[in-house]
Amino acid sequence: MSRGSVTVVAGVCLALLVAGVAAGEGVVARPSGEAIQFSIQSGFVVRDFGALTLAYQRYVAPDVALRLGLTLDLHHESGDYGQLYITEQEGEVYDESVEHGEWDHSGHLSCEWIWYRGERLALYYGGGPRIFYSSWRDEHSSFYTDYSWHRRQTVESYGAGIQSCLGMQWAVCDWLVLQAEYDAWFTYTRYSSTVQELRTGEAPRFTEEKDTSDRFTLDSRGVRMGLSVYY
Amino acid sequence: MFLIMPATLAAAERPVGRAMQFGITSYLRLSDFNGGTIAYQSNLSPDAAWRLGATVNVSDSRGDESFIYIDGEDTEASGDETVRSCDLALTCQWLRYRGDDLSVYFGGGPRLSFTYSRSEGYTFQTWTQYERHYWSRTFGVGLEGCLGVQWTATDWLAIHAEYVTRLTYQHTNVEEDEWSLEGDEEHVKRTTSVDAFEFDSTGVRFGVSVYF
Repeated sequence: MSRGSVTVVAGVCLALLVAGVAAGEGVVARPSGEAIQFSIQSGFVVRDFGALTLAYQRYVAPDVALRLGLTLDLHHESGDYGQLYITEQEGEVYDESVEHGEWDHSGHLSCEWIWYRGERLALYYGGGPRIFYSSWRDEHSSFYTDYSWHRRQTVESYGAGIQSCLGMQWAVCDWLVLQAEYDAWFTYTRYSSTVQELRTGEAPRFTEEKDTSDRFTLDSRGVRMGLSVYY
Repeated sequence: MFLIMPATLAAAERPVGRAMQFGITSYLRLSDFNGGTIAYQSNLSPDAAWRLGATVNVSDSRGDESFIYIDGEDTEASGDETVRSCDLALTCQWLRYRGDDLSVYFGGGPRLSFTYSRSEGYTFQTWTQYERHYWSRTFGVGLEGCLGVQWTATDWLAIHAEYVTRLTYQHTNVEEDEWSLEGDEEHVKRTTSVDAFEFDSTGVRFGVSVYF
């Protein structure tokens, strides 16, 4: 879409927005109850609100809501790869095979308490804990005619911290809210990586490398825009 | 504009019947929803529906190529290749709705996928000739679940956004064969077998249903 078209669309949206505000001023109150939250990305695409599995919000008091974000991904893959190489002139046969396995797990859970000030147009702020874990393991074994070679790599990271937000929201109607917020988080992350290699045959060898690190992060991702649908 | 429409349009009752579904991507472009060939939904009762997504892609191509290496020996080579492939996916979900003009819905169902590719090729060079076969087959089975919200814009149009998760098992077999027909007689055979389990949170799917 050209920049001119985007400008026209944005202008029409703004006009409708002003008309909607004028028509509904004083009628629409701040919605409460339960909501599913989505983010608005560039190009007006609706996507996840920072959590791929679910972003959910529920009011626990008239001006206080609890917000949950959950992401869960599990992946396991195992494969066998074989190669047979025959040179009939030389009368030689090489048989090589590879076994490969990969595990990949990750999860993230955040929980925030949000306080609201205002009605249709409201200021909100809050915070809460955030935990995350991810692990990745890769195993690779190659079998040749006279030796074999094995490699295992494990990467694991986990951490915890707190996150906070400060934003504004506007109730389009009694079930739809547009919001924009700044957020920041402070987290501790423990990272470890291990690589083990084993070679068998005439010159057997075993090596192991370990790498660990601890990291404290204070970070913010700027503004995220979203919408909450109350039901 | 979809965000502002609720403030300017009167509420309508949740449509019941048959619908075609489309995905909404950047700048409100329409795309496929949960199937490249068709995404269809039909109500089983006022608060229950089933939906079907299907993808069917089949192709058959044949090609010839020739090339010349201009080096000391001016080697010439030519080849031809035939490729057949198909890509099939089918998903069927049962959905339950709560609410009227604004409703929350959830549900799930099975998902099947199958991809197949087979190619045969020959390469003719000045001193030798190669033949190769490639064969790949992948099938997957799984479950797909969703939790979403839907807003009824009119009595025939609904806009919805849903979080989607999938549990899938996938098996892939690949076989490659290559041998020389003249000159140095060599034969290379490669086989690959891969099993994969996955629980995947695919994020949000945003779309529109047009009832008819």
